[in-house]
Amino acid sequence: MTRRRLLPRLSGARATQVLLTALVGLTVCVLLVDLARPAVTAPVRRSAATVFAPVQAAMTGWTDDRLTEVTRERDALDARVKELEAELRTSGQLTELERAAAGWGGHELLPARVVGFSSGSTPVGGRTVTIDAGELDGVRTDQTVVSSDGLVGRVVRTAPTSADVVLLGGSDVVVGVRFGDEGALGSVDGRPAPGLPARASGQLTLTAVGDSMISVGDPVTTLGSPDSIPYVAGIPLGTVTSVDPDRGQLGRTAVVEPFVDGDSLDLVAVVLLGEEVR
Amino acid sequence: MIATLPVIGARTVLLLVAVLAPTLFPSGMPGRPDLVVLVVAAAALMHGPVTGALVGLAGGWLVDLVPPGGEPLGAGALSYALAGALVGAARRWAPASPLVPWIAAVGGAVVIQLVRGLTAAAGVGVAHPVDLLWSVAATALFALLVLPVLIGVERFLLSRGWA
Repeated sequence: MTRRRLLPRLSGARATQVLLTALVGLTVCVLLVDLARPAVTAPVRRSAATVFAPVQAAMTGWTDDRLTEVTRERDALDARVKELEAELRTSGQLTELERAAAGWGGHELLPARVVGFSSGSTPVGGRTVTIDAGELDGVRTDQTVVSSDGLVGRVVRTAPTSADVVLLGGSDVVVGVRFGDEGALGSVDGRPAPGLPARASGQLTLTAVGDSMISVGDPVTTLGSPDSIPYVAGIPLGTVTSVDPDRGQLGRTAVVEPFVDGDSLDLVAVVLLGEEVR
Repeated sequence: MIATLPVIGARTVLLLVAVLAPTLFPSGMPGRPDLVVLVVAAAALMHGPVTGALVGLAGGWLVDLVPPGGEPLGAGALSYALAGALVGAARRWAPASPLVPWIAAVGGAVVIQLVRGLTAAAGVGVAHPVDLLWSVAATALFALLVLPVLIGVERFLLSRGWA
């Protein structure tokens, strides 16, 4: 009863302020819950992905081939040619993917298209993309994602028809690697350790394990993980472009230029492992 | 002033378009313009900080939720709400020059990229200063074309007595 009398007494501007305070408070609560217990907020992300991913997939495949009534026929033919060219390109990429995959133990590759890039305006900078393949296609968390050029990243979240892939160089992405002709061990990280020279956007940092030498031009490939989760072994990752001066860091470090450009990803493939693990 | 249903509907559609449109951008663009901050800025410039913060909160939640989304959930909402409130504070100077809305909107974009840069400097996430600058530059360029349209929409809603 008291509540009913309280509400109409608020003027319009005051009510908006109360609403804003309440919503900001709610957002802070959700943020804290997401930081402390990500599993609690996972269903929220999942339902949002279920709703928005089909829209994104439709927008990516959208082609404008009917501009006016007069040029409809010409446009239709034009679209057909473009479609065939795109098919040709896709099949070329797929052939390359299959050729590259032959060295990765013959895992099955599921082609997928990148339909969403992470916004460049969220407070915590990350490098994530959304692909149009999801749980219904057999995609599971922590599977490796590759492109015809090399390693793209790994699956971090799945929804029925889409999956989010964290790219190399994203926050907290560390990949065990082999480098050089002898296959020395190391790790590749998106964030350089403190004290190292600044990196250009997209460059990664290789840290050698032990006392092995790094030289410019060394190829870097993935080391692989137990049961190939999250990374399958032997996927090309990048090349060493410069070696950092020795400033007393524990292992030698170097700059790695990745083969895959995260900003222009289009067709990728998820490495489906033999049986469902976990 | 409580917004009416047509206003909420119009802004929701604008924010959805702003969040989903980057899917259509050609890949390999040096900087992706932040369209959400422009929608937020247009509302904030017409109605002040509180409405700006509310629209910012809604836009930020969409940015956080539309795949691949933001991490952690709600951080984007708070940063857009802050930008909306700050742009709204510039409303009193809007009559001074037609350039003020543009400067305020670019200021909002700078605030958002600054938050991103600061969290990265604090050790959370990865953000290169060059990328941040490109994003602000692209947003400033798009604002020249898109902001007058968005402010026109807000004026129209206001003239119909809905806002």
